[in-house]
Amino acid sequence: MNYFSLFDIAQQYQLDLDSLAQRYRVLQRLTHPDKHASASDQEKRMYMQKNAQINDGFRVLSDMVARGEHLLELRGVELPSEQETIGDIEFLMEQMELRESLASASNLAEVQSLIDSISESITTYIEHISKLLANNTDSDNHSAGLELSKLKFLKKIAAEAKARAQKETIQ
Amino acid sequence: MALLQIAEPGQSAEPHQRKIGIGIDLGTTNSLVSTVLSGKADCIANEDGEFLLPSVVQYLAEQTVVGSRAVNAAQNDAINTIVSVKRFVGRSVQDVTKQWTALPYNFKYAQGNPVFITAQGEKNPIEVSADILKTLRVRAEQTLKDEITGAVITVPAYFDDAQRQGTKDAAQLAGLTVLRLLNEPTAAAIAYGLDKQQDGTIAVFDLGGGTFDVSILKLDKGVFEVKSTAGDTALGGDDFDYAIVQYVTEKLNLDVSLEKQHHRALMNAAKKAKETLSNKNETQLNIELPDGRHELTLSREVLETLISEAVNRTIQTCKRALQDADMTIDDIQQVVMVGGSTRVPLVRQEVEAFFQVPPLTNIDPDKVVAIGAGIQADILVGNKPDSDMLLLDVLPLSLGIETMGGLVEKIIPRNTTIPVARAQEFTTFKDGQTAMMVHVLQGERELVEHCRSLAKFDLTGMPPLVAGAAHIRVTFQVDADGLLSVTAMEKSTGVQAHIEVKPSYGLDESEILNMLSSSMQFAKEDMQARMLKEQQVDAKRVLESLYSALKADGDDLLDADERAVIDANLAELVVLTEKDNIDDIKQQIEKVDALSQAFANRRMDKAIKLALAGQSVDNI
Repeated sequence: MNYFSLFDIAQQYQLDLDSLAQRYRVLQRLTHPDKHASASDQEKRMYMQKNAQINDGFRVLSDMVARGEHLLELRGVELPSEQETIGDIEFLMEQMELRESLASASNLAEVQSLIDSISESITTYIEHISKLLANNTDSDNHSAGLELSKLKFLKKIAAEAKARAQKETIQ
Repeated sequence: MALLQIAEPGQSAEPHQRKIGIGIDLGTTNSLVSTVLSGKADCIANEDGEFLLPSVVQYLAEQTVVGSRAVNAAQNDAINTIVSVKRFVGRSVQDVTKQWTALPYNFKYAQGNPVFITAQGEKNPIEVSADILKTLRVRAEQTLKDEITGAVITVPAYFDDAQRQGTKDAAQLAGLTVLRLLNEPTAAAIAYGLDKQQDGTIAVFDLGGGTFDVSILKLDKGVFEVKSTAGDTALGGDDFDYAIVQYVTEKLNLDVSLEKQHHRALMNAAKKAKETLSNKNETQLNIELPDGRHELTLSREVLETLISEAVNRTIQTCKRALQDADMTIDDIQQVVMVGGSTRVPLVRQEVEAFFQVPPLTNIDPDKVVAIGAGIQADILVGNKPDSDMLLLDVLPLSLGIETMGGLVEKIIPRNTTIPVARAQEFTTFKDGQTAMMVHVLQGERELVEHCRSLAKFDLTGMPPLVAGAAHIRVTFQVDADGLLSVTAMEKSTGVQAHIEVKPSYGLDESEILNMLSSSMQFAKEDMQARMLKEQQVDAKRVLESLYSALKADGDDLLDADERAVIDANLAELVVLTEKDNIDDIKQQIEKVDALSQAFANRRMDKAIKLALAGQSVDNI
């Protein structure tokens, strides 16, 4: 399944999220089972399956990591194995430091500044990945796969930091 | 021969072609049915003008009694009178008795569904629910003097697959076509038209007779996401009544070991006083007891001190719901009040004080869920073809499978927009293995024992390969009602593995058919006539939709040969529909379905392409 063609948009990493959301709503209105509540069972099934694809496509294309991985899959590039990712010692060290800082942060301001620095780092990663994917050479595609899995780690920590900030706010 | 009238898509139906959709709130204590008449949704009353149908069913040897008459029987014939059956749907006896001790029923201890042994024989919770639904269906049919096209039935947001499936099975058993299962808080928000706004965060506060739920909904561009629900399955308006009874007993020095009927009189007086005090500052309780007539004045102020503890518990639960949703009070823009007990002024005050917004109360809190369901049903039967409204729902609880060591691996996380399909690959661990067992679970916890077991099924007929060589792709499909179905395929050989789903709760198709046919309501000939009629209606629907599809796209999307085959088979279906052979009609429908599948697919793709092309032009 090529989600870029499903949404009829250019097959590239950079995309306009507003336009994607608009297309998603157009496709929802056409295919959602509620719009076919009185159709035959066969048609209902057909639309439900299409609608499920559209939901999944929207999820994949909206997410910087999943979108990149989908693009690589479509290019026939094998995604790096877990061992390959963990092999990057420097990155691992950075990760551990970030986690330690988050664990030892004692107030909202500290958590917030950590969130800011992680988002900065995420932006840098995304720019780098964009370039690699735009080049579309074998070696750049392979590197993009590695960078994407690092981005995945970073986003996970960012989510944990945000959850932590939310907790601090409630208290 | 004018066989059928065909309306173009988008063209509104003629008034006499209006289809009837009903909304049903199948509640723990009371149930209601609603519909849209002349553009306005309202509940349908019974011949006595009552809207609420108590969710109580009494099974006498020769007769089934549903509603108020059964309520009175619950005192003296508890064993045969099932109350609060909703608590049993999709649950095991053990689940329920863990929470509710001293239930007055005779249970048959079977696997899965609990079975009540009554004077009319064995009844499972799905049959009991079906009797409540049937009463509402008949009420709607008699009042509207028309056939009902379909129903939207509400379920609590936290209902899992087994409970949703059970509710849907009950509806089928009651002779209803389910258009959609709708979350109760979402239905309440629809009743207030909150779905028409683009974004917002809504708290739905639902205080019924015996249960309390609060849900935090997030609306984002038409997608309703239930962020969290919290509740207390043993807190409600009944607790307010008990508090008054206790007060009265102390004040008047009444004998606490009252006979059942006198206790009942006391409860009724308390309930009436509570209701009066929603509008007045003071009321007089008059209670007739064997030792004479007792009178007592009760002020709203005193009532509020009596119930403050219970009301406070609801507010504490709201705090928990906010925390679970990772939100603060400032995030909540609207509060919807549901359930009769939210009429109590103290409840409204405390809710407003907590959320810092005036709660929405102008729709009758007893009816609001049913009204929302009725509005949705009206749209789904096609009475508002131009409606832009689309309600997107999410999976309430994560779906996963059992892996090594009794752990659950999540396959579809909660809050994923539905419908959704996800595939997971499995492999064999023994040479020549041709079968494996898959255990599907639902819930957020990590251990199998902490999640709900939905089904265990065997994949059989796999090609015998060396260990790890077979790749079995299992696809989990969740439909718009949140219901799961599973298919599997061995990838390397393309062998479609056979799946036998054994639902841990709920019924399979053949059980439903059996119950339908053994139901005392239908004599055998009635059953035949009913099935024939259903097939004829089905056939007409197929013909209607294909004629209009062919008219629109037949020339464009079919070549002459394809067209000729479809036309010939449609003509055959017309002929068969006028005869009375059920199987022939059924087979011909299946044949037409198969023949027109490619055409249907091409039409869908064409529509998608057209709509997206329109998008591109708009964007330039």
